[in-house]
Amino acid sequence: MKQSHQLILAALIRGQSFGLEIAERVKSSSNGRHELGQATLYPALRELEAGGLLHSWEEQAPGIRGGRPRRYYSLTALGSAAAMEEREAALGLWGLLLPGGAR
Amino acid sequence: MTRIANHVRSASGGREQELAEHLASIGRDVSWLREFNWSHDLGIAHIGIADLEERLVEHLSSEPAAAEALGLLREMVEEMGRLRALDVGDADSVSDEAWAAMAAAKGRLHAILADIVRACGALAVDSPLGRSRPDPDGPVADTHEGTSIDSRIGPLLRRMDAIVAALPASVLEPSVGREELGDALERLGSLAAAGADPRLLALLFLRSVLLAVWNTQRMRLKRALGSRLPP
Repeated sequence: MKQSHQLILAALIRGQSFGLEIAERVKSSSNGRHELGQATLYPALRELEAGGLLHSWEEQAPGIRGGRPRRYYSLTALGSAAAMEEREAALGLWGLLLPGGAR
Repeated sequence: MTRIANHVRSASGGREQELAEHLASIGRDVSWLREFNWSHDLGIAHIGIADLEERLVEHLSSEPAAAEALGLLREMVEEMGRLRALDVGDADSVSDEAWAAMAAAKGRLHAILADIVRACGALAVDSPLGRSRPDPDGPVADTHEGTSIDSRIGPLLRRMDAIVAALPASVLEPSVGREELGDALERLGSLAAAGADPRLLALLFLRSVLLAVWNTQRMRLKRALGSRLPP
């Protein structure tokens, strides 16, 4: 799975969100180590939705958006399962590492 | 600007990253600069200082700066027209030449984006508004209702909105415009409330337009070609 897809799935574990907020979640939860730019984020969202891992809908939003609604995304059951698989894979790779460092 | 230019000129490679580091070293807020992945994402390198200063003058003298950037947008749309002229509807017809043309178009588009990013950087260096931020402890505008933003911003954003609305669906798919540019506008509202230079906002917005246009075309190519779209 692409890293951008992993990051989006991880951001949506916290609940539904829209593009701008997803990018902010990724940046803040990774302490700035990971960022999703516009050229990466939106195509990745569409790919994940096309793959059945996300579903989306539009909601009316604040006026500052020029009348454009926000498109919210959330994990589908397939997306949640994929997120769990990614978690297990990460734990397999890093799970033995303790805060004090490698043994 | 001369002092900054001299610094960059003396630095190895003369790249924007060093300009950003220098600005940070003298206490300027460069957090927004990092968002652009300077020399990586957009492939920026080998920028002549004379060229940078020339563009600075160009963009500062245009009022609003969006007029200049709009020219770049038109240029990009022309590139897209050439790209669409390729027969990409049938995957079997996509030749090596077609891929090469697409790669060249993408490179050209990134160069156009880089022009805008350079202009943004230049504006940040010399913008009087950029040097005089509002009192951080002062009242904060309510950007979520879109009613309390600085009066300079509203007309600017409406102008940018009109630019997007004028783009045909063949260039910018409506669904892409609604989502990506809505997010971009929302973010710009926050930056405006924080006192960002309206000219900088205009350029940032146009950069978002360019990326949205590119994403539209990329999405269509991917639909037509499936996994054959190069990374």
